[in-house]
Parts: sequence; structure tokens; C-alpha cells
Amino acid sequence: MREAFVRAASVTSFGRHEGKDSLDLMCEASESALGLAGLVREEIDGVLCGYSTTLPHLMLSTLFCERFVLRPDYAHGVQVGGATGAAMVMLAAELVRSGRCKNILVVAGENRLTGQSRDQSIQTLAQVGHPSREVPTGATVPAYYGLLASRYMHETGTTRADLAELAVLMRRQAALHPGAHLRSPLSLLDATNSRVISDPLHLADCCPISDGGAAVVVSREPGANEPVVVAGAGQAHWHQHISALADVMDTGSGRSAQLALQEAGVTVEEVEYLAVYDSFTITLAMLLEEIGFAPRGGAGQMARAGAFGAGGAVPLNTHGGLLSYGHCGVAGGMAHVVEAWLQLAGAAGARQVRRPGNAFIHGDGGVMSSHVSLVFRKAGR
Amino acid sequence: MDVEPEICRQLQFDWCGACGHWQAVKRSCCEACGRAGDLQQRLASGRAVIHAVTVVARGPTHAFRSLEPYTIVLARTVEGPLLMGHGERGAAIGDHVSASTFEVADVSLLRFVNAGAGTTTGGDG
Repeated sequence: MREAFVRAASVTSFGRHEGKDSLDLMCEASESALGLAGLVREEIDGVLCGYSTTLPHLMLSTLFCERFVLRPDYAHGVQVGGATGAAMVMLAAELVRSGRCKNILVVAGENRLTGQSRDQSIQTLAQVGHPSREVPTGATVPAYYGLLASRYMHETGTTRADLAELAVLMRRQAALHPGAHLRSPLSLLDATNSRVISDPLHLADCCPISDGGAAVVVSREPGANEPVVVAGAGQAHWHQHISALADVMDTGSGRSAQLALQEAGVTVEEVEYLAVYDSFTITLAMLLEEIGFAPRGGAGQMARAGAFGAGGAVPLNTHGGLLSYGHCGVAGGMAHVVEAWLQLAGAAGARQVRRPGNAFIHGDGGVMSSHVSLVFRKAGR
Repeated sequence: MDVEPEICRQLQFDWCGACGHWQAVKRSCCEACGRAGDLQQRLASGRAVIHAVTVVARGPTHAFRSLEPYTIVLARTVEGPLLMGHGERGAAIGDHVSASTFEVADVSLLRFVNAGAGTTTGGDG
């Protein structure tokens, strides 16, 4: 079986991109990724793209190819909420390994902040809830995650201060990235005192809504960059609605991670860099703990002790994650993939951590509904 | 309890005649035993235990402005399935509740109100 290489990856700055639409942001990220990959447009024979809530087109991949001037042999969209980016990289790796494609461009972008009103955005996102049993109650996505948080805190003893530690950590990481949406310092006190959004979640527990784009090139050949392979991948899809989630302690993320780690032949203890979805602080705590990177109720404490910082035992989301780099939909989850690649390729600049040999990446869509895990590894390791 | 139309709609569950499992979310077969042919609609009791609670500072539409902040709960019905609905201010995990309804902008919504101690027989609180 062939290897599939992550040949290059790039993310735009996140925040306000006044006047740019989803396609503009997708093009900006793609142009940059192609440059880093050392590839020209004619060499891209596959395109996978995410959805955009501000551009809900039936054929976004085709529309993008027309705009970006690509004529691939293979192209379509993928849609599993926040897990979409990781799912596209997994599929791209399969398509390369099977011999179907040589160079696949995985891309997403959205002007989620400036392309619609705050209320439109909140209403669109709330539709992941059950149409007759959940959405009519006036629950929002923060409310769904507020419910998860209340139950998970009840079961594990996680406190609001524990969650705030994760928000503070993400802000500290983002301070080193010029492209991050939120870079102003955030203290533990600021985080715990921020206004209530959907109790127990406060503003600092929630990611911002951003504009931005991201692109990843998955190839048969590694190119000139440090060779990074997709060593393992896994998924789990156990429920859509929070009303159908059997157990907040077992959402499917553990299963997804186990499949990816097994395929890569890597244990939880051997992971050297973490890129874990963090739409809310509770999302990050639940994922780290269910997968096994922290004991139950212990993620906040580990963050406090420095385990996940740039110089810690397992650096986590060194770009600042969704909580501080920002969240523009599919590209928000892809920013984790981009940062993992930069770290493995030794190209993370001021944020470069001590030479990780592998990285574990996890994306989550809906309300802990869709899970996709990836393991990247430096070739030859 | 009142058997008003909205309560009936919200408490209409599928019950599996083969294994006795209840489910609220519509599914093509019994989640527990996998049988498709034995599902029948049954009215749940409306008795439940609060499973999770959140207080929403700002709702998604204007219809909810006058209620803000409002309490949303997941309640574990004695039959098993979780139901989402409004809760009373101060609702807490483990509270025994029963289903009622109230109106927001002419839409009837489920609300779980305190049932007093000892009125329910099961749950996971």
C-alpha cells in the first residue's frame, strides 16, 4: 500500500475579512497551500471541500474549481459539521493510497462573521438540534453544550475554574500567532467573570464566530517539505441529537481515536502533539478525557500544571484553537490540521515546539455527534 | 395529568413490544433489540428526573426575548428516553419533575415542573 503525505497546509488569518466571501477565503488559503506544496494547478487531480453556511450551494466543490481554475478528475463536498476537515483529510489519504488521485486539495472557507448577522448564524447552527423535540424550545448550540457541561461536571466533578483554564491556555497560545482572532490577554479571573452565555458556559468558554479559510494538500509524493504521512484515521458516529446521546462519558470520540491510534501503531502515551477540537471549553475537556489524554475531570488541572503548553509534555493547539484562533466553520477545524502539519514539518516559527514526531488530531461535529481522528507522523519515525 | 394535545405530541414515544424498550427520537427499528415490526406508539407518563440544566442568556429569536434568561433542561423520563424542555428557575440535576406545557409566541412548549419528593419511581439523578 502507498503512503499518503500531507504535503502542505495553510490557513488564512481568522477574524474580520470585510468584503470577502467564502470562495475568496477558500482561494486565498488554496493559493498559499499550493505554493507551499510546490505544485501548480494542473497537478491537482482531486478536490474535497467543506460546506459554507453563508454560501449553501448544491455543488460547492465545482463552484470552487471554476473560480480557482482547477479541472480535477475527482471533486465533491463533505459534510459532518466540525469533523468535516478531519474527515476530508482521511478521505484524501484513502484516495491517494488507492491510486485514485495523486494530489488532492482539501479546502474550506467561510465569511461566517461578516457574511451574516449574529442572529442568523445562531439560528442556522441551532438546526443541528432535533427539529421537533429540541429546536422549538429555544435552545441554541451554546445551550446544547451548556447541557452537556452541566451533566459532565456533575459526573466528573469538573469545575468552572477547570474549564476556564482551557480558555486561558488557548488564549496564551494564540498570543504567539499573528493570525489569531482573539489575542488580547485573558486571565483566569477574566475567564470566570466573563458574562453568562448558557450557564454553566460563559463567554470565555465559547469560541468566537470568525471569517477565514484553510487548505491542505494530500499527495502521493512528499515534495520538498519535511515528509509527513497520514499514519492512521478513525471515525465514530453514534447519535445526532443530544437527546439521543446515551452517555456523556462515552460519546464515540474514544472509539474514533482508538481506531486511528491502532492503525498508526501509536498509544495515547506516545502522542507528541495534540490538535483537539475546542468549540467550547467543555468540548475540549470531554474529548481529552474520553480519549485518555487526561484523567476524568483532570484536563483543567493538567492545563494549569503546564502539560499542554508549548513547552509541556504534550503541546495542544499551539495556534490557539477555535477558542482563540477562531471558528469560521469547516476551516476552523482545519486550522488544527494545519498547525499539526506546521509543527511536524518544523515550520511553526515562533510557536515551534520541540520536534514532535507525531500528532493526534480530533474533530467533532454537532453535539459530540460525529467524530473523526487522525494520526500524522514524520516519515521514517 | 392533563392530556392536552401538545403534551400528547411530546410524550408520544415508540415502545417495542418485543423487548419493552422506549424511544423518543424517531428510528426505523428498536435501538435496543433491532426489531422493526414491534414498535408501537404509546403515551409516556410525563414523569422524569432532571438530567442536565442550562440557563440561556439570549435566545435564538425575538420570541424568546421576554423569557430571558430561561432554563432549558434534559429530563430522563421514567420510561428511559431523554426529553428537552423548559425547566423552572433553579431546576437542578436529580429533581423529580413532571411534564406540562406553556406557550411562547403561540407555540406550545414542554416544561418540566417540580413534582415534589417521592412522586417518581426511577431515573438517574
